[in-house]
Amino acid sequence: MKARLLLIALVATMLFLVSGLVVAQDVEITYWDTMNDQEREVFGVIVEECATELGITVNYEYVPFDQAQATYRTAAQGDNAPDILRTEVAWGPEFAALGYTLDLTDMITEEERASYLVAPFNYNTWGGRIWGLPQVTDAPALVYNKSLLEAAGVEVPTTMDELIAAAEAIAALSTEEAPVYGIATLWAEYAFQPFMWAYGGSLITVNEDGTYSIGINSEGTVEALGVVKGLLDSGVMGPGYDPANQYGNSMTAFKDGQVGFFIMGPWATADILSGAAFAETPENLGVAAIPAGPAGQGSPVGGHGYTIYAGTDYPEESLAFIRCLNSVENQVTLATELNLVPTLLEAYENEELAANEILQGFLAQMQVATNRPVLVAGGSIYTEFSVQYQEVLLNGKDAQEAMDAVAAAWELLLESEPPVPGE
Amino acid sequence: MTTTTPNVSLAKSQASTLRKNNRPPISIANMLTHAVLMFTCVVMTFPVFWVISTSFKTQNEIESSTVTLFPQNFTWGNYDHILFGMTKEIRGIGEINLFWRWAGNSLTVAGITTVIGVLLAASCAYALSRFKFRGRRGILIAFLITQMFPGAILIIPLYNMFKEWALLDTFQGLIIAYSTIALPFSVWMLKGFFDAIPYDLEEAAIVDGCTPIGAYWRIALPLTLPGLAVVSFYNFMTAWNEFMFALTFMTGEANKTLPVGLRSFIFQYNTDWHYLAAGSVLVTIPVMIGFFYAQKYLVSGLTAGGVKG
Amino acid sequence: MVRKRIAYIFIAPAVIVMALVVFYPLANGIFLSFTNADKFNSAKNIGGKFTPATYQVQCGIDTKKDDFTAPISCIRNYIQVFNEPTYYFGQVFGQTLIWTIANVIPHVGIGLGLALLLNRKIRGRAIYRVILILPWAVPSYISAFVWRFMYNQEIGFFNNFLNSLGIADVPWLSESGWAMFAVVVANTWLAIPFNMVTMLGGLQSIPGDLYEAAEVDGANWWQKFMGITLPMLRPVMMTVVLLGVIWTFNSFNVIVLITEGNPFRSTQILATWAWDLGRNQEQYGIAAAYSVIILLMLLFFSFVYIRVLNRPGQESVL
Repeated sequence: MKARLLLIALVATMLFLVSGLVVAQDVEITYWDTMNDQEREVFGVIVEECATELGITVNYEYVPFDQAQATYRTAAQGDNAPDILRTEVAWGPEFAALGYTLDLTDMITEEERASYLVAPFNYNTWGGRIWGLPQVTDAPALVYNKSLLEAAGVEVPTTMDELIAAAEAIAALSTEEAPVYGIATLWAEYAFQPFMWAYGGSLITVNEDGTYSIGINSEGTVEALGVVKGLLDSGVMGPGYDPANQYGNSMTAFKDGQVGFFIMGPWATADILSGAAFAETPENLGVAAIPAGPAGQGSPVGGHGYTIYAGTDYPEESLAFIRCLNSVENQVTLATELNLVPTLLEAYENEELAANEILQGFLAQMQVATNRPVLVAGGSIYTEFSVQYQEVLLNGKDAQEAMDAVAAAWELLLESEPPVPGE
Repeated sequence: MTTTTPNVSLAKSQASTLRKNNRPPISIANMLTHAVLMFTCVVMTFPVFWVISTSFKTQNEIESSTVTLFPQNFTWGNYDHILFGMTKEIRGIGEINLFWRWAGNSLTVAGITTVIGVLLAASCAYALSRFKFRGRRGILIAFLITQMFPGAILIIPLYNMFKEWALLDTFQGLIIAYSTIALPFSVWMLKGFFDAIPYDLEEAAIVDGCTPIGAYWRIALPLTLPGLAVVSFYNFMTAWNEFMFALTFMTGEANKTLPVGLRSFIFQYNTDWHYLAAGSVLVTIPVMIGFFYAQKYLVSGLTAGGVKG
Repeated sequence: MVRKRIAYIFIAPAVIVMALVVFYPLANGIFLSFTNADKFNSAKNIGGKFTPATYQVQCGIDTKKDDFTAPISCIRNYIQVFNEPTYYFGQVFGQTLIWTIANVIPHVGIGLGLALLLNRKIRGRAIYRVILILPWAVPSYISAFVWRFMYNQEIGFFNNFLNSLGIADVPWLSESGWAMFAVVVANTWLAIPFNMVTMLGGLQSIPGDLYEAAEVDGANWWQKFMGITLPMLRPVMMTVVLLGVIWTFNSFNVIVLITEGNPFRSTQILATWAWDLGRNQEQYGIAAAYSVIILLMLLFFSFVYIRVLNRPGQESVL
């Protein structure tokens, strides 16, 4: 009898210990961030706060943005993906179609969905399902150096022609020792798109019957390429186009005050403000919408969302963590400190945002921005576009011929576009 | 090995006799030789000098458009950042420095790869040196053919295999992939070293009752210690420097090896050249020390093994 | 040498590992090249749930793209590589040839030149030798970073230096001709030490009495070079050229890390392009076909090269 009691006591103790162990087993989430250095300085604090608040462990890892898509593909196929990825909007449909990301549709209420701006939220849906929550939205705008505009005696342009004239006037300030450029772009083909839309070109349109129309090889794109090539060849656009270092060199030149207009997104403003031309005088930085051209106006709407890996052990906890990162308060912090554009409606009620001129400039751009097609192939369309764009600008290839090649490559991509589930 | 070493020493003894008896004549040809060699030395060392100089510059100086040969505002800041600044919290381990972590990963992978690679190569080279057997020529040719593979041809199938065996993003996977990269050259080199040792010793041991494997392990292997050292270094260097497999297989930040880790400083949208330069110098120093220590043997080993077959 | 069964025990570990890590993947790669493998149909392991691959050999598959039937459809990937303009075979192959030739000639030429100089009895040649092999001691990816940095159009050393001499910027990495030149220079810098020391080793193994005999006969420098040095160096040079061609043809780090194939694919070579198709574009079947084509080319080249250059009676692995 005693022995049995002892046994029961023993088993009970063991059970207690084991259950204690189970309970004590911490939730551990890995989060891959693609933000740049300045952004991570602010965001890292938010990550830490949320981890503490939820009582979970978060491995906060950094993957450079240009390597993140390929790295995630590799990791996701082999069960090594992070629980949460900061996903560029163009990658989402592909990851969803391949089964890498978790379908969040049943975990997100209508109310929650309604709390977000419609356009950024829709980027996180594909095939009528929800695959992520939008963190930030963005569209490259016309960022400018006020003192250079003043020195050249030009106003903020309202048409493409004015922009070109103003850029030429600024470039005329150039001297032997100190080159000055009228306009710079972030990285090539992406920042070309505002010109493309301004002159009537387009990317891919999804028709109502589910077919696709490719507009990249239209006359408008060709004309826009001619305009950009003219600017580049005349030295108005600069610094010299060096595909391997384009982004960094343009940033450096703008930060040092060598560039008048810069087609750039909100993510870079914190970095820009640390530059020689703006560190002492942040008010020297202006932001406006890229002006309309003869056939339209636009700027590519991008942005990032949070997606959860389909193979995660902690779907609920991951979502809770995302919700914490994405709180109104945190979005406001990102907006005020880094000028990142919030995706939550409520964030816009904050008064500080209304007073933030830089952010307001980017918001003005959002009003006249263009959504990109939500396609599985969406993350791959820039590969060929980039190559042909370089060849037109640097090798004098015929623009029409080049854009026809892009269209042909896109047709091939679209051929393997999987059918949207549920349609 | 057998042919080069005596000649090297021969050349040396000749040189020393020359030095004692009559100094090399100062001729126009010699002066030209010196001029060309000095110029080439400057060209060959310049990139190394440049990265060292850059590693002591501030970011502003690096990004300016005036060329400064030596740092104007000398700073240790880049090294400080790499060695002590890149810290982050890792669960269960506490605060770690990423650079040290990557260095540790590289060291682990390269170290284990070296042990496996050398063991495999030594016994294979021993057989090729000592025995005649069916398929000997086939193996030598197969080794040569593996030198022809573009890494790209193996990477997709290996990736698929590792996916199935859950070896992606693990050190084991990387070690398995690396263990054969240096194998052909290692075998050639070691074969040269074994060829230089007379078989009599092992034969005598076998007559005394030693097994062939015992003879290899206890007699032949110890006699090739210098060769093993060189081959070890070669294996280590190959694994320490490997980039493509690591880039493709390793995805987690804490699992990266140094090449992949350093690569995260260089990306399309900005490059932290100042940190990259400091990191590069730190990564290169250990290899360079080892290299200059081993280079003489490495060179003669490669020449004897690779060239003579 | 003795003939013994025990040899198999000694070679077994190496052979098994080679079979596992090299020859099985190779066979698998060849198989893949006949399939329609891509990102949609390959195996996935998500959350411990393994989904096996569903790709199949192309023979029985109909596509909208073509009306091939078996057996032609089995090699559809190969046909596509050659025919489909978006796979750029012609262009990339041409670039690979230029890259290889433009590399191997200076590698061997400069390597031989330096080896000849170092083989002269001059003072300080041990120091020269150590300095000249310095690039070999630097990990190749580090070298690639450094060259990429020096080539930077705005802040790189070369352009800043040229500017200080009053010369305009050179578009090192943004103009196709310059970009190819830039990567060739960087790769040559990397490759010279190996070529130099290998040929120096060859030079030093030429018996000195041959030269003495020639001197007695009154031969001049050129006659000695053509009559003794080159013929005696022939086996070494042959190997160096063969290895050089194979390595250069397959080189990866320099191109991927300096230009990434840019600008507009003009520095893409077969090996890097196959990798790009596989990893970045996830067209595994096409990438595998590309890789097999590379391997066949190198095998063919080596075979012809050895046949043409190998003299009968020379005992050599090659």
